[in-house]
Amino acid sequence: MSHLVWALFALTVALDVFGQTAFKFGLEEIGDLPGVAFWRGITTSPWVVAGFLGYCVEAASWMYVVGHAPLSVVGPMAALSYVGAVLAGRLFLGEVPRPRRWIAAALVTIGAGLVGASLG
Amino acid sequence: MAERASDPKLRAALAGWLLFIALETTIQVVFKFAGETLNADAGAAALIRHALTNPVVLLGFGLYFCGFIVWMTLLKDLDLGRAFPMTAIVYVTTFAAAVLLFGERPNVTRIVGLLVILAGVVLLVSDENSPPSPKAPIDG
Repeated sequence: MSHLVWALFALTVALDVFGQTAFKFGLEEIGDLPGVAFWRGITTSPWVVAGFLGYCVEAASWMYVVGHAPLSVVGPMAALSYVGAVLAGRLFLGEVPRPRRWIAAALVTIGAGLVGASLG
Repeated sequence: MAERASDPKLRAALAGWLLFIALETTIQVVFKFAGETLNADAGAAALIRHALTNPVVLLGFGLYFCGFIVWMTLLKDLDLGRAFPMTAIVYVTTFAAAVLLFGERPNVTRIVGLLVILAGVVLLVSDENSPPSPKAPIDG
């Protein structure tokens, strides 16, 4: 995998974490609305729109990564966005993850390290 | 766990998740085909022109958008707390597609790594205090 592909992989994961966080904010603002009102809320929420624009860039970035790296490597490693979400929650949202979540994040990180190392 | 298989709500949830798993796996496969046609050495303008006119690339983005809608609908309409660990299945189906469709030959380290990741993902998403992410499990 080239430096460009690794850099775009990191960008993809970062944008995914940003998108998840933005959607979390957006959905909490919108609350529980029925049918059409929910979708109207979605399309007019600045957080959801920002997250969605992030996803558009992420999609292009991810397409390049998958096209230039083994899918059996970058597919599983994409789970690192779960780790990013736990860290972002701790750093930016003041969430205190329970030990179970830290263990899960550690497992994903170790597994991603193994998958990356399998490239040799 | 009192529901029977004939429960319409449970059936709808199951159908939604099967659709989701199939769609997410298809997206990764189409992205692989589409991404292979992208050439960063051609320059940004050529890359963007190619992305906006290549049918496989456009199909990939279209499916990606559908995946987004299906995911939001699943989160919105169905009580899926218990079914949420099923998202981990997408990692397995994508891995299988890499082997079966693209002839990738994972070594033991990669397979062990996948299993460790799956253990972590299942542990994380089966946490009841952890609301499902408003995003598909695999990027893209």
